Amino acid sequence: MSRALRPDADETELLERARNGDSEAFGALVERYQRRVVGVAQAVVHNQDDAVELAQETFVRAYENLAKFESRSSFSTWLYRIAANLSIDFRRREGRHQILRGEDAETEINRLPSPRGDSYQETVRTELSKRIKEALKELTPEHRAVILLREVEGLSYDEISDVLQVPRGTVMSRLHYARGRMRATLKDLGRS
Amino acid sequence: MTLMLGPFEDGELEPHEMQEVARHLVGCIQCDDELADYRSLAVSLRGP
Repeated sequence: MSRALRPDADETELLERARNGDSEAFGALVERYQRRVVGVAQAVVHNQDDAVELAQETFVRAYENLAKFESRSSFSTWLYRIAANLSIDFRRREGRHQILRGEDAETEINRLPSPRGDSYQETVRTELSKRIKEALKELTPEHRAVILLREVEGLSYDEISDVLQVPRGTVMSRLHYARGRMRATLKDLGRS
Repeated sequence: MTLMLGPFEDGELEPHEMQEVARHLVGCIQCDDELADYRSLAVSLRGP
């Protein structure tokens, strides 16, 4: 008989149980990382529906390959790497790596917070949110992916490097460029 | 120095570099402003 699953179960325990065929334990891992895996996929493919499908595929691949996971990296980094590889392959297949289509950019950027309310402060926040979305649209997909993975998904530079398969120095330079561009675009708002 | 501000904010520098940037920020209004802008941007992107 399998032991009951605690909501705060340790990741090592969940992995061990999942490796032994406990689907409930694997389900708990999926629940724990689903949002961020979708986020990683979305940062690469720039389309929410595709990202959700890629996240599902990521978990299927992970489940099938659990025996190969050797704990050299954290489980989350391993998952993000699978998600990124699938997403990069998908993007290559779809030919979406040249230019981000307008409607996809809208979908991605509309995920960002949109404050509501009618006070002066809310009006300012709404304007800021609008300007940030516009500034993000002006970045290339590569620069947008880096800044969203860092600021929204909270990945470290090494994790971003691993996920996007670029050197850490490239992560740093892209992030510097993206922040500089966004800062310049948003400067007018601060002055007004 | 400006290249180190983002990694400083992200905690991605070596300890001695973190100290170097922190010392620099005490006397440089421009870099301090730039760092403040990075923080505002991060907060806005993450949402409430």
